[in-house]
Amino acid sequence: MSELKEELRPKGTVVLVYFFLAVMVVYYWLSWKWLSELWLFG
Amino acid sequence: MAGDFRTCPTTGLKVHLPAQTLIKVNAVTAIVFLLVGGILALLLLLTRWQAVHLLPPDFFYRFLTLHGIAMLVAWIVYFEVALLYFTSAVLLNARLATPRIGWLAYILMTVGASITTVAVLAGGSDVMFTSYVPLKASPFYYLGIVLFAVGTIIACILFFATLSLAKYEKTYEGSVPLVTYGAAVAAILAIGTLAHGAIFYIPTGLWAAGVIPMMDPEAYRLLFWGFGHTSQQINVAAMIACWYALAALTVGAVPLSEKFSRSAFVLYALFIAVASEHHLLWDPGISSAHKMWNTGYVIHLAVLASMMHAFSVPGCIEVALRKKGYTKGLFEWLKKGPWGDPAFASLVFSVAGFGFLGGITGIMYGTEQLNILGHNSLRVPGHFHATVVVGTSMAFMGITYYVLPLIFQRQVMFPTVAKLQPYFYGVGMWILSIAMMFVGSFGVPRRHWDITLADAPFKYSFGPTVDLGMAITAIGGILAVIGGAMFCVIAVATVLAGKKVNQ
Repeated sequence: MSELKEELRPKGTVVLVYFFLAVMVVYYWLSWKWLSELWLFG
Repeated sequence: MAGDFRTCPTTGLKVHLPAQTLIKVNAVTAIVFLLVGGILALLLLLTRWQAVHLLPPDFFYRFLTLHGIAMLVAWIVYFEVALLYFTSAVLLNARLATPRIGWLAYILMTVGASITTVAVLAGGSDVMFTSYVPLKASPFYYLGIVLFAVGTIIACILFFATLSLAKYEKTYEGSVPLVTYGAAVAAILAIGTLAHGAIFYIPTGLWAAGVIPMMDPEAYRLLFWGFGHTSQQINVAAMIACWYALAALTVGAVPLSEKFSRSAFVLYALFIAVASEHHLLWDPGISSAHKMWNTGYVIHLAVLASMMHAFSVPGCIEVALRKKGYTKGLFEWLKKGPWGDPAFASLVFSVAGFGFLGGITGIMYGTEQLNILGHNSLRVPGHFHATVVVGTSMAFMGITYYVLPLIFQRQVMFPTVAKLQPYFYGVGMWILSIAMMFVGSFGVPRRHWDITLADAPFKYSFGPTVDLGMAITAIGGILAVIGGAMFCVIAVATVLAGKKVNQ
């Protein structure tokens, strides 16, 4: 990939990958939040 | 021997005619089971939609059992066997090692699938896909699955024999293509998976026949998921092999790095099988340490592999489209992609759906603490409809649009319908999967005939949000059934009446 010209580099895919990671982080956080509300301690 | 081959006018590949025939029969049988499973899906949808509630309970559980077998096992595995023959004999310009063994495998699979289908339809085997002991089906139910599994193992061995033969006869140079490499990983996983199936279905069948006095439910569950979920990992490997093939066929993409993609496939072969234990996260018979090792550490090496492919496949598509001149901004390549090509649209739906819907939710549900939120709720079928249906089925549908002209040598019929088909199927399945996961988060149980709990000794109402969610699930599902019917009509019509490609 390092031999690719600048205009051919998959920059859009990198953005999509970061968007994917952001969605995963949000859903992961929400899941733990829902769990904390369901599974009360103390 | 030369008379056993034809040269494909499009690709220049030498196609072994006996292999071609086996690819055709396996692919056609797969589509027959897709049709059966799709009709059952419609009936099930219209039952879970409480406003319609179509089927009585016995038929609901019977059809749910058959829907699982037809879709999760028969449609997918027949198609995978066709892929194994395609990626070995056709892509390597080789002959299929022993076509007669291929026919033996097909006959065993078909006799097995038929026996199980009849056993379910006859009643007394309403055990659903998991058939958890002590639920007991007819002994023929288990016999059919064992025969099917043995036939598939034989097909996998034939695949490896063909790879060896191609190497010996020097029909290709260098390494095998990436698609064949991915198919080989799928076949490795398949042999282990199907061996699990045989190990527990044989004694369970003997138990059902009264030969063995009892089955240990805990051992059954552990072994079942070595088959039940790992079979879905075969799908993942085969689906990703299809992604690379579709990227090459639709936009002329080549992998960004062969080594990178091959390393990801190796991670699958080594670590993905352990993911099956996430079904047992709330099973009291397995220690926490064991569960944490499998689902907290090792599984993430398989997740890493999926992440690698999730970067590599869209990346190589982007580079290919940028090479065609779509270099403006970040996403001109995506906007100007060949969206009218049903194979490309299927590929994008498959990659995005598998990653965003199936992948992310799979990581959540594979976490021990979070699993309690969704365990046995509609969240779980929402997840696996995203992985197996949006992901695997759409990848297989996409590649069919190329198999029809290349292997069946027929022009795809109804091209306008074909252009629309992935949108109906993809949008419908996205809606269905999201809605299922949404209502599942309210605790709506999976596999339940009546969520109003009308005849239950206790009363519970899920409320109007869930009613709305179930209606949206059904609407998404109906759209997908229409898309599935469009696919079946196009495929069957093309096979039976499509114009010959070389005419």
